[in-house]
Amino acid sequence: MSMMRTALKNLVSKPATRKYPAEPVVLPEGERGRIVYDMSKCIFCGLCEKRCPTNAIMMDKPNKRQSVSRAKCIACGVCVESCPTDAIQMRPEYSPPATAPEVHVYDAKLTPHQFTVASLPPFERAKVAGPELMPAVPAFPSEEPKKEKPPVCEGLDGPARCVMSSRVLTLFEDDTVRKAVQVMVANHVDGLPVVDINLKVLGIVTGTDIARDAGRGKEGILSLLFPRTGKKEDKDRDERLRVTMGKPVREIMSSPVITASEDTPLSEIAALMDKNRFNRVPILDSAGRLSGIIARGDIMRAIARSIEQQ
Amino acid sequence: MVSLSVTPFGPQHPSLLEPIHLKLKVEEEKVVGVDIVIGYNHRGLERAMELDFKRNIYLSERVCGICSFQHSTAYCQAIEQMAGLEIPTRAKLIRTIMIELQRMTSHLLTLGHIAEVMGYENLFMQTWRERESVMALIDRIAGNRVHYSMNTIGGIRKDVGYDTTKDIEITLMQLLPKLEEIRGVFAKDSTFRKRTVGVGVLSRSAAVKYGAVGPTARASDVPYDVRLSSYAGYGVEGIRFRPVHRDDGDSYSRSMVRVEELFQSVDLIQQSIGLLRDEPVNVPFRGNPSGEAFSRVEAPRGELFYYVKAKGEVRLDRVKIRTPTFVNVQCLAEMIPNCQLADVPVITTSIDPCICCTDR
Repeated sequence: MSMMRTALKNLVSKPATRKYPAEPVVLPEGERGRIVYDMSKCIFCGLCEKRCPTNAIMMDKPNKRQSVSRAKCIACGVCVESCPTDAIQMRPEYSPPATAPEVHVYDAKLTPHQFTVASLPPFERAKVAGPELMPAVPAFPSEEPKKEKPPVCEGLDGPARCVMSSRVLTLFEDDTVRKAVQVMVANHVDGLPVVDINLKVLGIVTGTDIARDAGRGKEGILSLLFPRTGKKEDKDRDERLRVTMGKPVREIMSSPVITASEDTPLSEIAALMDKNRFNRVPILDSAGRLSGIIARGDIMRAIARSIEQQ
Repeated sequence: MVSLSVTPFGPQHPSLLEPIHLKLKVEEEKVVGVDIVIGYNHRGLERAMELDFKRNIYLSERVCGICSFQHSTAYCQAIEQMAGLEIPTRAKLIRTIMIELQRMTSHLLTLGHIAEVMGYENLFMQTWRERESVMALIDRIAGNRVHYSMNTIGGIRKDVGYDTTKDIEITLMQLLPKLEEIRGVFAKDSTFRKRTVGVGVLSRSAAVKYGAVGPTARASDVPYDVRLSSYAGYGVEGIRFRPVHRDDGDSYSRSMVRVEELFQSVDLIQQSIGLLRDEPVNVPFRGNPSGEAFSRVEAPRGELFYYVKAKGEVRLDRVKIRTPTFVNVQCLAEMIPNCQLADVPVITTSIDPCICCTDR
């Protein structure tokens, strides 16, 4: 009978559960939520990376960066204990939900505890170009030293940086070919550089690479253009296309890639393209990160502009 | 003419929290035999544990979410034994406190689950409400509700301060009257008794024959408790306890053993807090382990056994985990025959199966 009394009591009393999204959860002070770096204290000794039981921490010593893969981090706090300079803190708060596995990048250029998110939702990811285009949470400080003084762009002798398109669409190496095709069609481009989270160029994927992979077989690439006959060839072709579409781009990309620096003269780049029969050359900044791309169209535009000026 | 038919129970079934498959041989409503199939949850953790002995402190916690601290304690004890480390008394007592707190959450979970599978949702909610206060307490002590990450080879990583011990004492004092209320319901409630008394009987001889452990064995009058072997803080001077045991061996006895163990846990935590002295909580461990060792702990479901063989490298030769449910689940072959089909979920839940541990 005592349960009957309890049931009646519960009927009129307040609910025991918390009305969660409406009423915020109060986490205790020692809660192991997530780790944050204070990069001004970090001496890049690498102990956190070495001791992390899940290899969630990646150190990039030359670029002075620490990356934490949120999906791998188990918040055990070993890095906090092992840090000799107390650069790592455990915060009683959780990372906000994300639609793709996130990597939080702590850069020595940022103020303490600020980070940028290196992995973005699947379709936003291809839009990443330079670090300034990364949606920063919070944003990069506005007083970041910006190299003013626009370069001299006279004729065809200027450096690559005045001709290149700096908004580059990129792929990560585990993106599928299907995604590469979607990005290419949606943005009217034919070649996409493949980068890692530090914007290092790993390879380049072009329409030709995809066609070559899908057109494997006795008829070759041209078989993709044959009209549909409704026979077995159709099925084979569809199957080959389906297999190619599901592959990660790392399997079909052209690699290694010939690149140029921002200061390379345009004439040299044009010669490079002519010699190697390229359509596009990725341009790297001084730190070796992808900063832009020059395609044949860019050179055409430069020529047209120089004729106009004359 | 009664014909024999086979009814599958699981691996996916509303009353099961985890995948286990019982092939029930049914004559009308009566179950006459059972085949038990496990292995739906295999993750290859024993193999993964051979890779890096330090990572295992955290990996062993992930064998099972509900006895995570027991697993890491068993693993750390094995390595400590190999290295010949004697850990400080304070670390032993803190381990005892955390083990007992985890036992409380586990037992409250199971009791609620038994109530739920028999359709007694009101009791289920009462039980889990009280469980929540223990979970919140653990969150305040360890920084996480499930994976405490408190153990390390050589002791405890994080000390428990004066404020925290006070917090534990106060929370337990507030919890005790509610536990008394729950004990009253489980002991006397007619609905609960009708579904459990005399259901799924495991006789003393059968329990010994199958090697049953934990509450399942203690409910069948086998007062076997690994805590008597004085691991962690159970051997510290001043800690006194006697294993709870009952003689009937039915689902009711198994539930009541768990209810009584809740009070035993509260008592053990209070004793441990009283014995805490000011001293370091860990001793340094350096180098790589070599040799072989085994360690046993009393997990909420029974004896948990770890065997570790090392060769003086970061990699280990072998880690073997023998989990309590692996034995207890076989006792179902003795309990289920001659019961009603509707009683199978209650009997299965009453041994508190943890398939996550068992399949590893």
